Amino acid sequence: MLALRNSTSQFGLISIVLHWLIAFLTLGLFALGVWMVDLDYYSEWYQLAPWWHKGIGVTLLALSVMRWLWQLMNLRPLALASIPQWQQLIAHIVHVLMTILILFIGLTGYFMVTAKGHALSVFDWFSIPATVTGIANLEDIMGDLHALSAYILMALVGFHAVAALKHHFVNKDNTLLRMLGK
Amino acid sequence: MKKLLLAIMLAALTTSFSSYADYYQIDTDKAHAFIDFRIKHLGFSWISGRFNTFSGDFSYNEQNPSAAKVEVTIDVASIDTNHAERDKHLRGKKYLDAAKYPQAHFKSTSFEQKDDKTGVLTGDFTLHGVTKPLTIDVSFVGHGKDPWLGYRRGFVGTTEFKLADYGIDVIQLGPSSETVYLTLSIEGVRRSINDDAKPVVPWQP
Repeated sequence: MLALRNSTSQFGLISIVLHWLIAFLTLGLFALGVWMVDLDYYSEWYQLAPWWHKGIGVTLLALSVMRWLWQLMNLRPLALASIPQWQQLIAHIVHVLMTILILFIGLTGYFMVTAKGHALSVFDWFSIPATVTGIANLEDIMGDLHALSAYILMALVGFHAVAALKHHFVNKDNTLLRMLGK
Repeated sequence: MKKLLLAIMLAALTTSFSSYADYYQIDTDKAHAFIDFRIKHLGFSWISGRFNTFSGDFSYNEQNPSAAKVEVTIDVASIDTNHAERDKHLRGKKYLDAAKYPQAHFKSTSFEQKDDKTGVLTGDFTLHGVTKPLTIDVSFVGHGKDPWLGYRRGFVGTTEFKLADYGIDVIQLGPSSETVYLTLSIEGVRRSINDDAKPVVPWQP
């Protein structure tokens, strides 16, 4: 039975669930975002797709903050000893960058939607009020940053995934399996 | 020769004098001028918005109204429909493409006074990189000394045009949203050439 918390050699259940939840939501949000910006005005999804994108986006932001706090409260499983130091360093930098980018993308999305004082509605359940308004063309600047950083994140995600698969299929080590509870 | 020189000097003097008397800078500084537009939404209702940043000037003299001139340059990215996401769309490539065509511009070519209160202004309007003649119905609102030692003159211009005429594809917005209606509420402050009038934003086609 998998422990809830991490040990120095294993990821706990909570870390694993958060990792995969965030991974799927991030990929889903990216695909949704790329798709929805080109929707036709008369599409049934024109209002609905952004509604989901915003709600899921705030959820993802909250999960990422929770994951970061959970990491602070937990041991960090050590990289396998067979992995060279420089690879461990690069992996770590990519992990940190991905987390920072998710937070950054979430914030730029929020500042874009609220740039003219409208609150950000989360599933019509609650809404987050605007804080920064009155800056000319803020929504454009934030929108550009939102898209750009999402593409950078996807490049890093690709790198991260390829590296994990390389460990599994080429090095035949446990790096990927550990994130699946082994 | 001397007479000719004198005549030229006199002509120059009167020309500069008349431009002193007739030249007005649009009071965008203190926001006494507005460029408002309306466009139908789905054929059910109206959306209204405005351009927050523009500048321009005009000249007008009751003695010679057909010499009236107007020139306005609009910062397209300053479009404001009170909804950040919509404004972002409108500035984007699908509609105004403000990054590629940052300015819109109107320069009058003629003015025909109809009566004391109204006239018709014709000019070239540039939007989305396309220049076409545009006619603006003008009605004079008032003029005179303002309470702050200046002299002001104001008018309202209304016009309409099809966005497709300027290469803006609005087919996907539906058939009721083809035409945009503009209302220009313009107040100018009279300036002299030597005045500390701020230079109007240059038109950079």
